[in-house]
Amino acid sequence: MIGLYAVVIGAPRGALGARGEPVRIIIRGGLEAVCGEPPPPLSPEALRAHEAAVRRIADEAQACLPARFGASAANEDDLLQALGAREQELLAALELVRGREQMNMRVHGAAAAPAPAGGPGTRYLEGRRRATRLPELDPLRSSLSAVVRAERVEPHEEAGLIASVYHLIDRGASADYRRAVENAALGGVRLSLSGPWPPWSFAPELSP
Amino acid sequence: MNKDVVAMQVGQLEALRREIERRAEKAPRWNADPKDVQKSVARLVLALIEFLRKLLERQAIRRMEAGTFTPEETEAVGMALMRLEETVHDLAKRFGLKPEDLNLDLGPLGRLI
Amino acid sequence: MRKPPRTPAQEIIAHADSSLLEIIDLVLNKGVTLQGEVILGVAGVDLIYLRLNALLCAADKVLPPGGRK
Repeated sequence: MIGLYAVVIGAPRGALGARGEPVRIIIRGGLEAVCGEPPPPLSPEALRAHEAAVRRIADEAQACLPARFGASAANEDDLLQALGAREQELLAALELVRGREQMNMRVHGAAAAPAPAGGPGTRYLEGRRRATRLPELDPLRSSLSAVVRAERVEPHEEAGLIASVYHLIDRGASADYRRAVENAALGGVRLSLSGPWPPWSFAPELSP
Repeated sequence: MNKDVVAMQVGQLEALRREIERRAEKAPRWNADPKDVQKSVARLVLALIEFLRKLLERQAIRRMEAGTFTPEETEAVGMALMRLEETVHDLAKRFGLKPEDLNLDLGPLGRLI
Repeated sequence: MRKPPRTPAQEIIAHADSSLLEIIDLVLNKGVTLQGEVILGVAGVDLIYLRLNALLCAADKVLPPGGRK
């Protein structure tokens, strides 16, 4: 069994995996799979070690798509087949994240009631739009437009926690990003930031 | 400087923790329970419908934002999606399934637990 | 109804500090997965295997934007 740390372009030779093992690079077309020992049992230490290994790889690679904790294949052939089935998707995602990293933004507050205009179907769709696109952040998006290359929004169901927003920025731009967020005039929502991180949220997804 | 940008406060952290806890996989394998084959099949079917519903919703929102819907189309599509969401959730409840049971994204944790 | 016991993942999440929570959100919920699959079985016997990411993908990646208009 092989554990996967990331799919990259420009893999660092000599990087170390989560347990200090030297990584193995398996190539499929334009994709480089950075692999190591099979995933260990779930524990806080294992989770931190996986994140640290991915970070070391991302710091050196030209483009990096982190692999989820536990991503593995029975053997090299299975790994190549799994990657081959999604080669175009993965190459496109690698181009998006080339030279980039991500910031995590949590949006706290009470969700604003949607403006009641139109019939029930229109109000429903408008409500879904507000929940999934978070238009209340539009003033912030204008001031971030020079820094943000892509965005993913994850609406939440917890009282007080509206959404998580993941922003892809050029590497080294996190200070500019933080400054723009600090200076944005947004009433009614509180924002908390963490990052920069490797671009975990910009790997191709199964779900919409 | 906007004082709203702070490190997360305790209450906010707990809300995030609950959200992440809710999403941690509970019943990753889809193996039909010998006592309830219907429930397992219903779960798979509804999860696939839910996936399609989210795709439809996303496309509809895109077109609404792009302005390529007439007001009548917006209303008709919105009603249809609203009814679809209600139907899926009602059916799920009848089989004792919660919204998180309809998540197709199993990820590798399904193998580790 | 009694609440079901926590899974190991939920146990870890329940006790995680803020830095570990951020890490968990990334490494458990995001990133490339190789196992996009469903295994359906009966009476403990696996019978059907679906490789989902070959079956389904977001339509906007394959269909042209817009619609009939």
